[in-house]
Amino acid sequence: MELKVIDTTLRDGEQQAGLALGIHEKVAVAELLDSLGVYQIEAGTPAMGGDEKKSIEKIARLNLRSRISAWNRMSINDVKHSIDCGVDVIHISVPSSDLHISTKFGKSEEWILEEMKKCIYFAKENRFIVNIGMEDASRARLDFLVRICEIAKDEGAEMVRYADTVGVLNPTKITDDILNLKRTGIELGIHAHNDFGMAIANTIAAVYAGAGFADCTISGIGERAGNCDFYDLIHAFEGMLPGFKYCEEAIKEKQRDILKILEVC
Amino acid sequence: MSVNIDGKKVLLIDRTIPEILKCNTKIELLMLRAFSDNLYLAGADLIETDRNMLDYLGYVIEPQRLIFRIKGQEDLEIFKRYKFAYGLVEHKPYKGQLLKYLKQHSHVPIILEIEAEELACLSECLKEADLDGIDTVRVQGLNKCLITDWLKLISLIRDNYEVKIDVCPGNLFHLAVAAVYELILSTNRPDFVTVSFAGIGSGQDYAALEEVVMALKIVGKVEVTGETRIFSELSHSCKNTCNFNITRRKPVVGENIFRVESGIHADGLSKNMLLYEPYEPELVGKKREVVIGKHSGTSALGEKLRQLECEEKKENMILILEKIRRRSIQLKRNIEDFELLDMCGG
Repeated sequence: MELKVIDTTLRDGEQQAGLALGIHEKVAVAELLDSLGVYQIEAGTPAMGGDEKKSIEKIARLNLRSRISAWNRMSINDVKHSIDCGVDVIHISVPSSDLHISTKFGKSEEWILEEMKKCIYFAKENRFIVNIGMEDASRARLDFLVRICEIAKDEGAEMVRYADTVGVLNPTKITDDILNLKRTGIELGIHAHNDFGMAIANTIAAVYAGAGFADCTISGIGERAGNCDFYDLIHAFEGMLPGFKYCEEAIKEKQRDILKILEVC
Repeated sequence: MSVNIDGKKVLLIDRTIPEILKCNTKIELLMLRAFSDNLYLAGADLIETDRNMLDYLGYVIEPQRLIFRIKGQEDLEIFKRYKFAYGLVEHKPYKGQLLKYLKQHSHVPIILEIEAEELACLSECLKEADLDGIDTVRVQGLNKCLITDWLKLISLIRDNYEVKIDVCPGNLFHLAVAAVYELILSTNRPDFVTVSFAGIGSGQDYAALEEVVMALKIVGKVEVTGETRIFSELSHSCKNTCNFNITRRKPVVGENIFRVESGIHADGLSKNMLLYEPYEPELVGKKREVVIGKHSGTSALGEKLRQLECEEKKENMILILEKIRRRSIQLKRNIEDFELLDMCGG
């Protein structure tokens, strides 16, 4: 089984209240994550501007083995900021539940799909790899998620990430949803939050069902109860799957170094 | 709490106190008594106990709600004295005589606790155990089991033995809450689940009581009768009285789980709290706190300034946010109210 870890310590992890990283710290964390063989590092949100954008530019210029991605709201202007940074992957977050669509945009699902198309087209035209994030997917209708996946695939997105934005997933539901979404033929990823202590179980269930990408953060840092914990996920896979190896000990050591930089416990 | 789904009840057993006492015997008695009362309020139907716990508490209240662990002959005197809900014995070869005695003489039903790491080992244990006269089998451990494995196990027991089933998954790989949650909502649900507050265990951790209850209530939309606002107090007791570390991000009870800084999320919460939170903080005895830092936006800043009765023009807000970002990065933390007022003044 191949597992592509996307580490989002520098984006979703840093959104934990009270965390504030400067350019130097973000670069140092990215280098440590790269040394762990992380497949992709979600480096931050360029549209924030200032030091945040500079740090992402700097990380992108390091030519690390890990791919560098940047997080964007569904807006051409946000995507332009990511293009400026020269990252490898542009991640576009698309609201997918009725609650998010109506409250944040007050628009129709058709409008959402059209805007997503425009953003993918713009990023692809500038020769970037595009990942789509289905925000609040765990509270969305499956038929709308299928449409997002189909259109994302047609427009040339590489992967669609299923985001359990408020941590309300359970393993049976994510298994069913991933199996259904796999039929669209697009690569899938999972982004789990730990509000009910089920982030690891949900991530494992999604990977078993066919999601090739798993989002994690170092020590599970992130908003509220945090995200899927990188070390705990690898520890679980190593314990459960004979032959699965991901240098668990190295993760422990680098995690200590990263936490020192973040100054969190 | 007794989860009642389609007429079939699942009872929640809590084992927190004996686990705490294994690690810490210097706990204030009154606090421990209050803790025990609060576990019932929080939704536990039965509380596991042992001689150590009863000696410590110095009295037995409502023995019909207690499960008494019998470790050896020396526990029989107390066991015989009260009408506990159940007696609990580990499945160990050297406890064969004790079990035989209890089967013949026990005045209450017996739970046999079988611990295993692998499903195959557990099947072997079930074969070698004499389950005649046993009321309930508690299956403990199975850290690696996913829901499909647990369901297979329940079918295996139901198909071959006439016993009730109690599941108590170990949490070595952080799968215990999901296993308990899914089993309770399955069609072949167990009769009991055993958990502990904050997942506390002396040798291994278990499914956390508060996470199971909240997951059932919010994710599963199951009606639960436990008083969830008590979780905050229980967490406080765990930390301050029992010296157990409850991390700031611990689901449901962590100190920081309702602190919000991110601009997008703070803005979303001002429109509808359910956008970025699965439930209201008050439901678990907490309050939301918006803090200002590197990730804050104009909406959160405006709200904070209103709370501080500080008026700022919209055009100044962008400049203040820039100052906030720079200062947060320097300090590696969020900005305190007095620091924010300084920035607005300066």
